[in-house]
Amino acid sequence: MPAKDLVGASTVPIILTLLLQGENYGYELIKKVREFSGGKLEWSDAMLYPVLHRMQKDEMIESRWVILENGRKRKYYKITPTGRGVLEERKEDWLMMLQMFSKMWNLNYSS
Amino acid sequence: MSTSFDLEKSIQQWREKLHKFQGIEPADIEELEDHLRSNIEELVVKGHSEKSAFDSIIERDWKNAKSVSKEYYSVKTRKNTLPIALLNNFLKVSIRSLRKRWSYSIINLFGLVLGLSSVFGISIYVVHELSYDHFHENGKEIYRVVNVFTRASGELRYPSAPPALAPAIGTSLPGIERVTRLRVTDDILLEYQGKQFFETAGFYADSSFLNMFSFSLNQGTSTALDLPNSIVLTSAMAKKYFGEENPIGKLLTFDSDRSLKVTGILEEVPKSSHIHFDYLISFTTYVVPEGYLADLNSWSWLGFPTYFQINSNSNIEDLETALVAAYKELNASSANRDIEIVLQPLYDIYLKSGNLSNPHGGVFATNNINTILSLVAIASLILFVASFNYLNITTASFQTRFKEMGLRQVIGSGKSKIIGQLITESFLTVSIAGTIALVLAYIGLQFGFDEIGTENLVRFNTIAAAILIIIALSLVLGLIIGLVAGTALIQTKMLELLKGSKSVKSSKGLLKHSMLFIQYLISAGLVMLSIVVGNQINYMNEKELGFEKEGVIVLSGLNEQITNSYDRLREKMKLNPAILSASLSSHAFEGQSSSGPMRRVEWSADQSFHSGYYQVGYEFLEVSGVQLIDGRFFSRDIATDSTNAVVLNETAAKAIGIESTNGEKVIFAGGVERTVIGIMEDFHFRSLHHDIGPLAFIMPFANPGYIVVKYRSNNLPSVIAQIESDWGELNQGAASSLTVSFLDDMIRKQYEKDYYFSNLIRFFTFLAILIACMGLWGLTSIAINLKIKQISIRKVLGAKPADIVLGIGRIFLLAAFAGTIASWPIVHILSTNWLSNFAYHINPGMIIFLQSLAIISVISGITLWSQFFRINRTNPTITLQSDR
Repeated sequence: MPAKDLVGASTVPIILTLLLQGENYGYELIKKVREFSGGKLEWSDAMLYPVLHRMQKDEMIESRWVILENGRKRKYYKITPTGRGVLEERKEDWLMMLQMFSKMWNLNYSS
Repeated sequence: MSTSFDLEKSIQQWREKLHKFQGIEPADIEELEDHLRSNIEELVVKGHSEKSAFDSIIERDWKNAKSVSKEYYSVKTRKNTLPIALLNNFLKVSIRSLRKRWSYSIINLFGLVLGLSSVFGISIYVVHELSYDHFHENGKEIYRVVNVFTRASGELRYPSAPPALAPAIGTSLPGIERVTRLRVTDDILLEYQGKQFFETAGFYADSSFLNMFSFSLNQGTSTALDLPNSIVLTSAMAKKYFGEENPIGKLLTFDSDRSLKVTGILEEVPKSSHIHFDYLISFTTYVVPEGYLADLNSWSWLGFPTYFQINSNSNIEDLETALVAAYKELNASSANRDIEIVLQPLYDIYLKSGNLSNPHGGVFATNNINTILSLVAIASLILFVASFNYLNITTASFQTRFKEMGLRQVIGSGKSKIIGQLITESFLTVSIAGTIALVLAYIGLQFGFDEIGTENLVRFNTIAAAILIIIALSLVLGLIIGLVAGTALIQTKMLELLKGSKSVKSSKGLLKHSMLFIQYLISAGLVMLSIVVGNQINYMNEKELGFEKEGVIVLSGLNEQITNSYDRLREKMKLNPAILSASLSSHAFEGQSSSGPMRRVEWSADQSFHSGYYQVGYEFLEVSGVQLIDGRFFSRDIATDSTNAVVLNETAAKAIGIESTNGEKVIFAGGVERTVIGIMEDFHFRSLHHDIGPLAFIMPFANPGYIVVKYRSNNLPSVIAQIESDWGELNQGAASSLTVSFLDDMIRKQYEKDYYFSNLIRFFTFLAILIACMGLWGLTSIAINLKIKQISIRKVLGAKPADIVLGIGRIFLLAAFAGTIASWPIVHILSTNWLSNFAYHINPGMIIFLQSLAIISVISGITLWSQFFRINRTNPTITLQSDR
């Protein structure tokens, strides 16, 4: 499990990136993160929702309720144009970091 | 599966527990429940029992439910901070980028500060000038009477009327609400309990004056001028005489034998009033001075500024026609019967009285609308220069930023965001510049323009207006820059940008050069204009005026006592060998004169023309140095000289059709028959703005007001002290009435506005050149930066730095020279127009263009020269290694 502050900083761009692929709900997001990280990044279920709600308040994402066949209600989240903008910006930061570490550690990613 | 475990019941309990927490709402619980169930379902599929699945999830995620609820609570109470965060980011990047390119940032900032502070300063001044007389509540309905004489020699316009007009027409014409007359009080002596002052700024005013105009009364009512021997004072003047006492009802002694009762106290007259006064005396107090050749029933004595207030719904043209008709009818017997009347709107008086023949110099404030318009034009030009400069430098410096921009685009930063970034940068620069400029303009105005007064700065909400201007300007400039740069970016292939080899040329190069061209067009134009203005000012200072202006002092403040004992005073003064001669005079070359209709005795009244006149003493010719061409001057030996003789200037002599005197007789000055005894050379009794009109000298029939004294001494203070003591002796106790002025100062005063204009234009020319040169410097500097490797290689190969600079700067220099050349015809038109304000003026030729070209060349040369040193210092071994 990566350091807590790194997890914190990456949460928003990760959620935004995942939502870029389409509407989704909390539980599924956690699963996808687990998959992409090969199980190394495990988000706590309870902590995800406040983050989602905060992002919604910041207008990066929007949500709607969907009634499932079994009658259960599920909340789906979707990325907004603002969210896309924020993602582009964060992407730049992370890419810069990536490029820097690549250079510093002589990794062979080309820029 | 265990039957003792009821999942629904456990979930219900979990929900109830969550309900207790602040911040977690039913909708949140529903969402969490969906999550919980999904999770359990998945674990059950994997083989867990419902109980173990439930327990393990609760154990893992909900052990610390309280901290989760806190998290929810903080989200609920949180405000949307994203826009601020985004702006923050823009700002951070902007500041970083401005600091990185600090030399260009400073050029930009400096140029904008100069431009904007000029604009603010000028705007505040112009707003003030345009606001004249707008504080009067009835302002829109008030008109001043202007009399128009049409003569073969041209049209004469006098902003005053005969005394009989107001009472005769009064309010009898439909549409007229009020009418009021003014009469300038000659300098008067007032006294209260031994406190004695000579007062020079006041009027006799009809009682309707206080109702028509909105000069606010602190004490008393608008009936204060109803009764004879009433006086209304400004609060400052009241304080001067009465200190802390209540002035109402107190008596002021007036010219030692009459009393004036204080009936009202006015607030200070606003600076933006065309009428300025310290006191008003009820018109009914006015007595025509002894010896005057007219009375208050006169239709030919144009000595009374007269104002009409019309009904708001009446038509001004109809009223004018009716007035002219009434005037003609009532005025039928007068020599002035062919006078026409026009009504000048109150709001036009301050700025649009330039065409009036005698705008009453010191009594009524005037300015020229053309001066105001020139200032607005100059302000706009400076702003243009500064904006072009900014646009030029910023877009040019993008070339050095294209790598950064390209990278941003490759990694997915949208174009809109890049443009947003550029706009933020411009916005930031313009705002900083605007703020500094505002402060500078304020400080400048406090020092430079006393006459505006701080209260006006606040009154016009200029701060708010200026802030609006800054914001609007920032947005406009920011948008333009963003668009220009953005278009350049979009047209550019990113890969080429990344290689750093791309310099966006073609259309943008043209833009850059045309902006430099315009900058130089403006700067060179201003240089030429300031040369023209400066030359005209020199011309005015050096022109022979036809009289002696050096070594002459003018004594004013003559009361009856002094006038009556003038001969004794003159003899006393002449005991001092430093005093060469002295003479009484009603005027002193300062632009004023009395005037009246003149004609030869044998002519009909229709043929009369208007001539100015001075009332002078026997020695006037000697004192003034005016040359006599023919005939003789007044003589003590010929008794009729003091009543029936006149000396004409050449223009007046020509007007009555003579070149030498042969005992011709004229009817002049109060309808008196006078023999022409001499002809004098024309001299400039008015400023060089005006033609020398017809002028006559006659001997005084009333208190002339001035004693002109010619002296030769290196010890002027002792001369003045001697005069003061002589004066005091004759005037017993009223020494304070004497005022000593220097003739050359008085003459210079006529050109105050011209000097002021000349200084202004010089200052702004300097600013424009400074900004344009910074632009030139910045552009060459950027070009050199972009080509630094090429330059280094050329240096290694043996090229001279001077050749390199010229190679790069050539195109800029060309634009600069083209601008200078193109400005010539524009300046020619403008300066011809300005010079037409002067009846006597220079005729600027090609030389001004050449001077300006030389100045521009030298300054631009120096600017480029500084780059030469930079290249000289460049070390090829370092620049060639660097990866830029």
